[in-house]
Amino acid sequence: MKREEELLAQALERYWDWRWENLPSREEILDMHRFSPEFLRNMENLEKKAQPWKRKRYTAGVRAAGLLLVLAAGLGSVQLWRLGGGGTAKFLGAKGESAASAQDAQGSFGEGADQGTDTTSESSSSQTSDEAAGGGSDQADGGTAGGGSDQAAGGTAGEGSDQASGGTAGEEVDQEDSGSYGESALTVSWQADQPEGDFLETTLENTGDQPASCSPILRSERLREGEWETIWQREESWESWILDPQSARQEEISLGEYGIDSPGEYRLVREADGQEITLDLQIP
Amino acid sequence: MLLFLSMLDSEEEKSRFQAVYEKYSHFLWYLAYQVLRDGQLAEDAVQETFLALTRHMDKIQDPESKAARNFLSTIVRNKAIDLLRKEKGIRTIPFEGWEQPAGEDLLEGYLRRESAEEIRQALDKLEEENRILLEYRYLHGLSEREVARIMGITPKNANVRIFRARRRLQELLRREEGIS
Repeated sequence: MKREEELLAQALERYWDWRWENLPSREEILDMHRFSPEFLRNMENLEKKAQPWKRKRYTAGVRAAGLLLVLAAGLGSVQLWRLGGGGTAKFLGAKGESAASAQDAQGSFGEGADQGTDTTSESSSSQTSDEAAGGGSDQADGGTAGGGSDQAAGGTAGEGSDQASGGTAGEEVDQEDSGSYGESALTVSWQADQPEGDFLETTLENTGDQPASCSPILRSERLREGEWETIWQREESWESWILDPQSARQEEISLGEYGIDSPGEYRLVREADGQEITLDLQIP
Repeated sequence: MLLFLSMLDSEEEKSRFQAVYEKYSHFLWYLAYQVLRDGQLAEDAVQETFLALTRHMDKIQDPESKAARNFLSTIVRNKAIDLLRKEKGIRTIPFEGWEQPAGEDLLEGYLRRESAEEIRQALDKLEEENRILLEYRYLHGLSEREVARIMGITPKNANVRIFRARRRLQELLRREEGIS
């Protein structure tokens, strides 16, 4: 590190020493505020589901297995739009929600006794964003966003697992026995309004009672000879964001930005709570 | 055997994660509250911080260390500012190809001349967003790519923003020098 950078680092450290010296004590903060039961519940679920110490070992095979579970539950479909030459569109279908078994995970993340808050909570269907975050990390690190899940989208879970150090999807799931892809109930839906020219207004909605994580759009795919082929994929790093329970978020999408500019069947792919969701489009 | 080792590793990281939560959650709430002035939103910022932490546990080797404390402080204010922007409907100005000028970085001259204490005072006056960028890059030693990932921006954008933050600090130091 250059001398200047060292100086800057030292100054920043002094700055933080000084700030922490001036922070109130833990007891004083507790007098001001106690974490809400919702926060404690979310943290407990985060601890149970994030399992960051195992996250990096999730592989394409696990993703594939998770996606297949989603598909098996009849959840993968989304909205289909037929876009006319002039940019008009017809609605073709609707997206369903996933429903799968809740995950059983050990461990708890209760508040300390100092708060005296009841932290017991049911350990089912929470939707924390850790799994998606983990996926993001892996993809960003490896620089192969969507690589494994491309195969999953094509329904070839076994192939996906080949990428993952020679194991099969099943083996990977066994090894990471707490892997929760496809095990939690997905309450996020992704729908689109009528497109205007190149722009499509989409809505992500979380109908559940737990926060859900959402990634940005990770890739777009085009259907060629029965196979989904990636035509665009996010290269830069990304981070999931939280979609609050019972809330929706609208996004305006420029189709051209995702390579959707000629007739064909396309789909946009992103992750919600570690599971892939898609928005299907058809341009005649 | 491999599975066994990975389980040991899991337990160790799990225990670190819990230790961090127990030690810092209230302080992190307070730091977020200083930015947001809303207890509920501050909780959200803390939650987002721990979520982000699941991706960066490698930065927290010792929960008791200053490095861990400072790293968490940076993340929580980063998340608080993100929430504040969202609440106020403020959007970050997108990167538009601004190029970093060539030549000497004037901040380096100031850093050579000024004492760490004077720089600390300038840092205190620096806008929170700029300070966060400098903290990620210089205090926590993150690469531009890592800064980009943790902030949800592109590496190029991170590079530009860090440069701007340095330039802003330089302005503050120059102003201080002018006053004294």
